[in-house]
Amino acid sequence: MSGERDRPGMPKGVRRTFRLPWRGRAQIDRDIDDEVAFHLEMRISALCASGLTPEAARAEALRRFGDTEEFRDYCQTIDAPYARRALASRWAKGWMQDVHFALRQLRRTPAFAAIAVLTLALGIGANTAIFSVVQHVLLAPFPYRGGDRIVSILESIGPGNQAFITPRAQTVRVWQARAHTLEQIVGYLPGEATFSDGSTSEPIAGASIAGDMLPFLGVRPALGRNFSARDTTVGAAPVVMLGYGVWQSRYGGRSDVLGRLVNLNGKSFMVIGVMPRGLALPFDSQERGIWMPLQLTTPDDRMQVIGRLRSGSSAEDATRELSSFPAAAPGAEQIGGLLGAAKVWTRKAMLGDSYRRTLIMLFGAVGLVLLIACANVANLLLVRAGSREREFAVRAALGAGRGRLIRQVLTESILLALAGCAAGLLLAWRGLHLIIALSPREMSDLSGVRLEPTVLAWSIGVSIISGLIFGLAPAFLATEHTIGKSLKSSTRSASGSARARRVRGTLIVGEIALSVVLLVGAGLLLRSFSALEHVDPGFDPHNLVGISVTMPAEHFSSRLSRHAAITQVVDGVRRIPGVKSVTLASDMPPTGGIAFGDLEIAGRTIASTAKVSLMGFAMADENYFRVVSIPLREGRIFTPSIPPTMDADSATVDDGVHEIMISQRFAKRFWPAGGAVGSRIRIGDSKWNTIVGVVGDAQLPGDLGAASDLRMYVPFSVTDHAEIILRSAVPLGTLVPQLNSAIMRASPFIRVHKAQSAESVIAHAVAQPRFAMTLFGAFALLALTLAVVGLYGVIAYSVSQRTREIGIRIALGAQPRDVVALVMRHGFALVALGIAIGIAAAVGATRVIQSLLFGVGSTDLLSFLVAGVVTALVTSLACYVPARRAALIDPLIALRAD
Amino acid sequence: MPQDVSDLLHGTLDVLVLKTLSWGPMHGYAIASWIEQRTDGTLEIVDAALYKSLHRLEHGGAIAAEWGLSENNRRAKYYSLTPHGRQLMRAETATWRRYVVAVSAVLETA
Repeated sequence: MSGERDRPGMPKGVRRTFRLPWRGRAQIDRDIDDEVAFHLEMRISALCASGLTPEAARAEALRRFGDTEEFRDYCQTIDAPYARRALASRWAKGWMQDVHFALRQLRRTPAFAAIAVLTLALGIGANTAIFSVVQHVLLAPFPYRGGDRIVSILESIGPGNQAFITPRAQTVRVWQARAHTLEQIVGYLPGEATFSDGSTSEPIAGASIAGDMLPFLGVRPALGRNFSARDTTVGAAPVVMLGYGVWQSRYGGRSDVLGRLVNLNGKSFMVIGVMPRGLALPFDSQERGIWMPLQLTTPDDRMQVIGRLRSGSSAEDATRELSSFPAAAPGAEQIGGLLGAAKVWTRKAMLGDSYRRTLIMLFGAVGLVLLIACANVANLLLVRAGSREREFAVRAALGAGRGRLIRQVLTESILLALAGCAAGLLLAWRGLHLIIALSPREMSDLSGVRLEPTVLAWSIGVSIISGLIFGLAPAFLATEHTIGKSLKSSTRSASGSARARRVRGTLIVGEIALSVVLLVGAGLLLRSFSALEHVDPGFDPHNLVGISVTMPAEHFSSRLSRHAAITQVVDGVRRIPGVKSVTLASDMPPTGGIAFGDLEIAGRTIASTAKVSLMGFAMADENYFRVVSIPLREGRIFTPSIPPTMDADSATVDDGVHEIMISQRFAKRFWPAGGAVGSRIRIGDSKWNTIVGVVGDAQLPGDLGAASDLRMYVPFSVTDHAEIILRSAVPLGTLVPQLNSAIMRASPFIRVHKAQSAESVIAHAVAQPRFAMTLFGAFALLALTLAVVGLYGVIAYSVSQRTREIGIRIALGAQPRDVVALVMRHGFALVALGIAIGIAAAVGATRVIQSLLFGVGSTDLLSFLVAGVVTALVTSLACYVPARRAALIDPLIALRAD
Repeated sequence: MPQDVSDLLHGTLDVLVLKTLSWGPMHGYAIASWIEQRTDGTLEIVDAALYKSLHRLEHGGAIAAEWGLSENNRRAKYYSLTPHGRQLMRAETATWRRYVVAVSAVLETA
């Protein structure tokens, strides 16, 4: 039926022309013209063969053809969409070609690819890890309804918005009723309970919430139901909701948990529901396992408050509005005359400046590390591109434009970058675990950090941009001499050209400079942290332990019973072998509570500018200062308070002199010439207290607030909680079981909250700076390593390029020493320039982290010096190794080789 | 069924081209020559129309085009029938035959 076909689409014997497969718009037009021209030629020769003159034949052929213009228009109209599609498919095919080709090339040089991918993985991995932290903490809103508008609301106390306190229920009710800038306000009360299931009991973090909390967040229980209005009325049947984690770990996620009874603090509660997975209250960094209905007994009960801003209102608007409401119910207790002033905090504001700055600083550091990694890979690519010069020249001769070749090289770069991204994500995933493990407790909200889609997208984006960055220079340089020169020459290649050398040198200088900047920063942070750690806390924390205990009202109804219990406990603890001394206080040193109220000194008027309303405050018994080793500076220690008697059940003892002791800074501030002892002071409308002694200052490192500056101590009188502080002769670990049993024996109903050592409290206070320093130092070292490896590569390559020259020198009598000097001179030039630029840049750059530094200026000479010296030493080593090898070149071999 | 005169013309030319190509791949001039020979010169196709038809068929997927070197070593575009084109040819041929029968039936009646 049809003629046979040698090849599909071609008549027998007809050869296909060689065509590069791209058909752009211009090409299609050309094809149409060619086709018409061919047809006309055939027609003309046929007509000539039948006797017409060439001119007549041509005229006849054109007549026969018809309207060429109209034909061309028609074809172009038809071809237009085809051309567009062809263009798109050409691009796609081109890319596919590029990708295949790039993969083939990379497979041929696996070592190069491996090094490049590893370098990129380090840079991209570090970036991804830190970005996911930044995204989770700084950028992402709370994962709840209107999460970006959820705020925390506190009452402000004292002038100048210095301190804040959780608001009271009646204040919250006023806000709820009248606030317009906030569309909803809810409260909750965090707490702890002892969860016991018969055999074991353990403390579990929990919170009391009202029924409006879950709708506020926009979530529903995973199982069961929310609290109802009835559950929150006082006297209702005790019910509880479980946290998702508790439900899974203790009850295996079974739905029969509903209706079961759990034992909390000795009471039975019925489980009515389970919280959804991963529920964490905004601004609350604790994971809570138990949720109880919020039952407020008095309007004075305080609770944590969060709210959601109305769209369009800002936190400042809300702050202004809430502060404008008149003070709550008349007769209510006033605090510093400023009840009613409120402050609304967004998530960002709440994080605190230093935390935010720390994260941003770390983010900047990993950015620099990535730049260094890109520079290294660019250098690698430059070297490699040099060896592919001929290939590029041939392709250019075959018609590939420079743009096409550049696209090819960039495709390789992007492929490398994406491979680095994949490996980097793996590194980031492991790295994140490490970071979260190292992070201090306040940053516990890091536990929610994961490699989310946003982070993945960002990581891929950064990789592609990096690929473009480090691929551009090699692409341009490699395709520079695409014709002529490289095909002819044998020794001079583009990668050895002066321009390429300069580019490589510049990259290395840049890398070294960046490393120096990071090293200086790390050095500053190290010194800052060390200064913080060595701040004298004002007491001796060594082997000092504090045990928090509470005496709940249901077992200890009177002051008498509490006093009896605590005294027995102290006696029991004192008798434990290994315990050197024991004392009672309200808080662990050097922490304490806050007293608020206007300070008045008898017989003096304090200028309004010098007024204070906030002071550190603690209760301590008479042994406290001796046990804790706070020195007495003036006067004497107060006499022990009178133990309550049978009939002195009231909260305060009204008669007698109220003795008080103050800290040294307090004394120096208001009695600069001395004479504090004997003066009388009072806070707000408290009783007048007489200062009997001045003791040394005690504070946590980095704690430079006004409150801790002015500290007061009053004689201990037992409330429902106390801190038993002891100095032991043995480490805490061995004591704990004995302590627990001693306390149980002395008073079985006393509840032990936690035992901690003073050293851990102090360490905790510097946890954040330590965290920052550790991470930053790690990144600085990584940067230096990358830069050194890069430098080694550049020097080694330059040696290999100059093999002939060196061989000649050796043949002419150069000593190994001279050759080494020759090579190292080149290296030193780069290193010296890099260090100089780095130090200059660091002077400006470290100003950014000044606010995070303690005890060191941002231009601390020692840090700069050490950074410079370390860099110089390590880079010298990197130069020396190839230099040494250069000196061992055999001139015969070198001169023979091409 | 063709809608108007130009469609009829187009359709006719298309089926002629398809049938011609069913004999084997050829370039545009060869198709024109073939049709002229087969019709003994009766059908003198306007070349522009032929090439328009070829382009239309190519974009419709009925024929495929390939550039090659002709007998006298010139660059020429060769067309060949695709399976879809073969189907189309059969369908259009059948339609044409029916059409001819219908018109003849009318014209036959005296």
